[in-house]
Amino acid sequence: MVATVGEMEAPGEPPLPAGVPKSQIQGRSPWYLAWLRLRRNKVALFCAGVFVLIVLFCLAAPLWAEHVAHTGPNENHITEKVLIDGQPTNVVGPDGTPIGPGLHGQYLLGADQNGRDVMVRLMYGGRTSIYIGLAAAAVTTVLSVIVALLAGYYRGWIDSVLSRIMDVIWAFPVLLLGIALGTALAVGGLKIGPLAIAGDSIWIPIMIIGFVYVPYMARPIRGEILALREKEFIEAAVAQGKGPLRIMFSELLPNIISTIIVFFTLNIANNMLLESALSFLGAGVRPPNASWGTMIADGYEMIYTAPHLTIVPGLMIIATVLSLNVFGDGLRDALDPRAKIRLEH
Amino acid sequence: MGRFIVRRLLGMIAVLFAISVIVFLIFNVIPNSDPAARIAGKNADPALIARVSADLGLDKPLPIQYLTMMKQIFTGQLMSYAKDRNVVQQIWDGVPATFSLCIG
Repeated sequence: MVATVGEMEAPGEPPLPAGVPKSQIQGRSPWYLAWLRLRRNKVALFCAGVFVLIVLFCLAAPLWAEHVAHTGPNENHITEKVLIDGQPTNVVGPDGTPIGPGLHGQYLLGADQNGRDVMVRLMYGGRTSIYIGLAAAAVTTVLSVIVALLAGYYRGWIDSVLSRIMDVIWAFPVLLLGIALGTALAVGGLKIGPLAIAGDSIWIPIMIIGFVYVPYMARPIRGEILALREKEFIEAAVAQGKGPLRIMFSELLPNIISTIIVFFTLNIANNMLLESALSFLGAGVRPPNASWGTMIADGYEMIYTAPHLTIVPGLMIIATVLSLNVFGDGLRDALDPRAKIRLEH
Repeated sequence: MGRFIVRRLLGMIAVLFAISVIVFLIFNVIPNSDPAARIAGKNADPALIARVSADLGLDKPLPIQYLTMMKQIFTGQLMSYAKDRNVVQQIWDGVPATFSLCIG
């Protein structure tokens, strides 16, 4: 009796105490088991909470701008004065040094050299950075899943051609390819058939970042598909007369969904790092629009006189990327404890 | 096994060819990257730019330019227009630093 109960438990779960009636043993889905494992990983949960807080913080940007700061992200206040300790002080001093962080109502995190409110720019910039991270991760995931499904299902010459194309993209350093595409596309914009994107659109960095990371995600997923392709249930599906699309999307795709979820989470963090780097180098988000990368680029010339311009967005990038990476690792451990999948870059 | 290696080697050649074409085209697509204008200096007149262009073979059609570049790469004659030095020589100069960084 006890032995059978033990056998029905998932590995890693504590066995039920002896004498528990069978009626109390409930069926548990893989998702529920994954959630039980994730729930024990307090660090991963904490990091998920941190990320949610950062997202909420950035979503609150219009509220803060309207009710507390009374200014937009791109509005200059270079000639204005604010009251600090009862004394009117220049937002940007005569030597070009902006006011630093402090509790003076407006300008909670100080101003930059153009007299723009750093707090408001931080919140709006975070929206841009997180939006780019998420959208580019969606682009990467969709493209790489399609590539991996086609290559892994058909194998043969289709696999060879797709793999060689991935090799070509892989041969370029991610940052170099991003800068080259970013500078080239920023002038003329992007036109592929009906798809037309203006040069200053936020979708240019999204498409670039989404594109350059495709091989890094497609290759491991293709490997999993190749292994699944040999399993009996695919043979059974073929014997039942299911078509290639049906097998790819309703047989193979559900079996790699946990891998995709983990990759998606880790990919957001990579994308945000690449977005910051590209924006810092001037090949990402176009000024005056704020993103955390452009804020660092704007502020690094004043790193000695006004360090808050670079430290504040830098800390936000670190917090976001760190929380996403730790949560992604926790998610991987929870969804498939034996998996060794890694998103290298 | 032999067929596999041959297939992979053919694939490698195709990939290397595609990479060389992309690298070649990137510099034609990036704005303000005309090397002739850069060599001719800040306030060069169009005639001077055209002469430098002709010297470098940049007035010929793109496929010819590509073939010239590949010929110079394989014969080790490729010159950097920014530094006016042999590229192969520059790569060899950089190898010790790169290698010592790689092995830490």
